[in-house]
Amino acid sequence: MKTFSRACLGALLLLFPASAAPAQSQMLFGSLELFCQDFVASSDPSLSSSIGLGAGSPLLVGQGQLDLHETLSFQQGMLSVADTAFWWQGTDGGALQNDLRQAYVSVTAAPALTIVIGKQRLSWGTGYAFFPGDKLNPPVNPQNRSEGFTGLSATLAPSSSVSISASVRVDTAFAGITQLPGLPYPTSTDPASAFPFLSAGIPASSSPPWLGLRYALYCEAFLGDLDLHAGATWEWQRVLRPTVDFSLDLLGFILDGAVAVELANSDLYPDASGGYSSPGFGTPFPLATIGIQRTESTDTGSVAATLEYLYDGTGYDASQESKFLNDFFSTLTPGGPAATAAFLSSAVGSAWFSSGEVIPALGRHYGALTLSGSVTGVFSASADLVVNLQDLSLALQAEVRLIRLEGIDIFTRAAWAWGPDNQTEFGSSPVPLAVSAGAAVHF
Amino acid sequence: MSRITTAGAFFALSLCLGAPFLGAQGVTPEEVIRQAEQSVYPDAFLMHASLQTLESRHVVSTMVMSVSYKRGVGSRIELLEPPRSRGIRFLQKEDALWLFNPQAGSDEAIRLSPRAAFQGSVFSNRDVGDPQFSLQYDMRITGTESLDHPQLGKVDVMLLEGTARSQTVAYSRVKLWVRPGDYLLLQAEYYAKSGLLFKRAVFSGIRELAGRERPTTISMVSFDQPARESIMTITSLSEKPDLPDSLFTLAALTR
Repeated sequence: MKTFSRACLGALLLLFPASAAPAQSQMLFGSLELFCQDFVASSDPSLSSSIGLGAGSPLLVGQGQLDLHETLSFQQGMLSVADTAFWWQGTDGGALQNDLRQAYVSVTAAPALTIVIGKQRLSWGTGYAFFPGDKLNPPVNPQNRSEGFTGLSATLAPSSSVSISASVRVDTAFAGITQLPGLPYPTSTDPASAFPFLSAGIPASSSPPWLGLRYALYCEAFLGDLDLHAGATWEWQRVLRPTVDFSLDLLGFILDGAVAVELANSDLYPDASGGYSSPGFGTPFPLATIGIQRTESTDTGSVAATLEYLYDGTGYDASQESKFLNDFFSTLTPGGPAATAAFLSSAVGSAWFSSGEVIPALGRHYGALTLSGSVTGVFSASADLVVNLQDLSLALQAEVRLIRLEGIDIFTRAAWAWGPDNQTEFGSSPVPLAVSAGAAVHF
Repeated sequence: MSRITTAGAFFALSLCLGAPFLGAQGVTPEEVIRQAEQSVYPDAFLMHASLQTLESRHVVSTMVMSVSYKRGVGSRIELLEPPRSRGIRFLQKEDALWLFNPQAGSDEAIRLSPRAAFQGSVFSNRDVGDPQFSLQYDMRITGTESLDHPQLGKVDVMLLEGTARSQTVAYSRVKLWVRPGDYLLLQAEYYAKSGLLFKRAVFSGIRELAGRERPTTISMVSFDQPARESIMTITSLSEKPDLPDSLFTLAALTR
């Protein structure tokens, strides 16, 4: 979790009223969520003790989160704090933290050209759960869900049906980003402290920072029913991933798919010496996804279903996955409540116990099923299931929201992770069940 | 008004004289539909509108939105109300419709079917996102009629029929009632592939807007949900020929 200093963010938000005068329009919206979350520790003592809890014991935590989105539009562009959150949770003493996920200046340099500078995300891929070609944006995790990269993007629309985006990501040049196969956690976590057993495998870097810049080119073509996207991401000796994505409307069924190949894989894999090392440039690692989505509307609401499969050639096989998990838990020292708090508030911990929200991490074959439905003005419900098909562990997240009141939701949600044993991806969660209930006010 | 009546009479006469497929001044169906759709919306515009859905005459949902549209490029809709939906954005481009909901914590836009209902209303996504008929239907003029209009009373109109050019269009056939003279679109009927009458839209609230007389209220009823009605009320409309094309991209949608 990369947090911004409160003073810095406060100053940024204060700029808005000052610059609102010449703005053509201003938009501020967001939500405030207050809820209680009950975490239930694993019944496996070797897992629960690693974070200082007894086997199967519950832990009730109060939490709150304020999400803000603010945009000032001008004739030639906009200034946007597109996504920021203030949040607190009882386990860390209720201290208010904030997370500036996206904030940028967007300039319309010409009718067909927009330039964006700042912390941003670039839309990449056509899928619903899996985006195997996206190595530009930071991977998704529960607390940094829409965290952007810091850099510059230019989007050109040379014709009505084609647009081309070129981006340079700058933060990769200054942050020591340790990569594991698809792992969302280490992006903004100091790898040496989160995964000390990996340290030996991380190559010492004496390269100048500019070699750490990450470049991407992405093209979208809208061809009637077919949307075709193609792009590539490149960083010196760390990433070279071309990709092609498509989305097709076939009689109301939306088909999506992507094919990508990683040619400069710098992820860390268990090696013959018992440590971890990267394959480096030259060996191709294929990735592919295919999915289908259907939405049906009735006079009272709608239902939607999405099914998607991912083959991630950069993932661990079963034995590599098992070794990684074993190494990870052997580095955690059983501790008291402080260890629990530290674990739950860390990016690693939050990813683990909320794994129903997490795009898969370690393996090579995944399936995702999403079901959602709503009755207009009454309730909405959704369930997201992710299965690691390699070890048959799974993560399920379900949510029901009552939406009868204007602008106020009453909700309950549950995240459950399960695996055949604790050497499987989702079966390794020290907190496999989390149930929460609360209310959200939208404004 | 006399100009309109004269034009209507001339149009009726031209039909009797064996020119059934030409409009009042010898115009082609394509020209009539272009004029008719421009009577509702300019070729590039920024609009604010409310959309109310009623069930047995009780309001079940109200939303406010801003719509940016550029003919041949795309349209972008942003929901401004209710608070729960604020910030939800749609991009309609070619036959594809994409949705981005920043409040859902999603990172990417998701693709929807343009034929699905727009946010639980009687309007389809495409009715709102791509309101021009001439790009989607092959039109012909089929005759004249007297239409009982809620604002104008009895009006002599020309009747046009359009056949969908592709299967992704929301309706396979449309019928349009257009006032000769100023080509004001007054009513539309939408048919399913089976030929069944599916929906009817009535264009009323005619007043001066963006440089000419335009309907500002579009009331849509569905015949398979007879108790439901959605009413779109245009609160502001301005012609914007300089809308940047880069606004209508997925990169812009998710920012």
